[in-house]
Amino acid sequence: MSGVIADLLKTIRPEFNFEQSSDFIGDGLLDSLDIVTLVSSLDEKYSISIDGVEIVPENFCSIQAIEALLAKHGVQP
Amino acid sequence: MKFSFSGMRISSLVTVVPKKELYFDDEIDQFNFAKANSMKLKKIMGFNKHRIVEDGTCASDLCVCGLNRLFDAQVLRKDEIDVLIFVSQSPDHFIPPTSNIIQGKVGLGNDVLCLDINQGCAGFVLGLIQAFTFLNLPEIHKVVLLNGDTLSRKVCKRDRNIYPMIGDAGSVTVVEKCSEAPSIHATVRMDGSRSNSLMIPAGGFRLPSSPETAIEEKVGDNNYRSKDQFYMDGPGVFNFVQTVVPPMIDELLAFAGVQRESVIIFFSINRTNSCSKNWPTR
Repeated sequence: MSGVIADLLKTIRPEFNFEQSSDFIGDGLLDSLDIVTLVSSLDEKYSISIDGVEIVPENFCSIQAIEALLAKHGVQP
Repeated sequence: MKFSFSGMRISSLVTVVPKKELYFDDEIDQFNFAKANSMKLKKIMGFNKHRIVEDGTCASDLCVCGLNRLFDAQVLRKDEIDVLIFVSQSPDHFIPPTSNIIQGKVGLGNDVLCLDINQGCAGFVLGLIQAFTFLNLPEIHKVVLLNGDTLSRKVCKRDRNIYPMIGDAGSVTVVEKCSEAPSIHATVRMDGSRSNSLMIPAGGFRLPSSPETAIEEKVGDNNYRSKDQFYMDGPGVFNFVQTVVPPMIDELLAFAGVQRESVIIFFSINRTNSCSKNWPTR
């Protein structure tokens, strides 16, 4: 799953190296529009529906955080 | 702070937008992002077109247009206005207050109280609260609230985070005493500790505009902007809306004694789909 997430992140922000960051938001790698784009991509990819209240920085600050969010929606690693 | 008002209502409302329409599809090439990326964002966000003023048009011009429309239609008379409130972050000048300029342009009497308020997204609600507060005075019977902004003139056209969302407009709201009107409830909070989340850094007295502040530079998020232009901390604002606003809605509903299920429309600024019965609540 982490490979898929990394690919999606690279599609959204090809200019950044996400592997070198542990805080995508704090380090400025993702902004609000990127998060919305990522949510849409994850919804499409895994046929889930991430709720608005889940779209908070702590759920998108790292690949591990995104994996944990997906796990809540039943997406297995 | 919670507010409750009674015996007053909005009697008229007119909105003015500029003629010029610009389409996101035509603006994609000016952004520093891959076209496919921007097209995906267009689909997600619902970007299509926005109305932008011509250079030289001010928010006050749009509001004056709306005021004259109401005068011409005989919906509003100049001699019945007690207070004129102009809410904007696009004033004509630092000095004088734009409300005074408008008063002079449309020929209101000298006993009209004119007031400028510097507010953006919350400006309509804050302006209404101010209008209601005035109407609690026995001498005041009718308040005209003007809201207007032409922030497109202060946004970098290469800033994809902001420019597609910005549109220019003005509105005129007539607020008056009405003994039969139902109660109106509001709750308002301020957080000055996050005041740099929405900002035009230069152009005021803290950092006057200069040739240096006018230089549009590539900033960390791949967008361009200068210090003379509007900046929004997107993630910060987004997080604020997601975490702070929903509890406030519940708080307001409780204060007003209204069940969420009975609300017909939740209207949200900055949403194209304004109707929601399932407003997110934490």
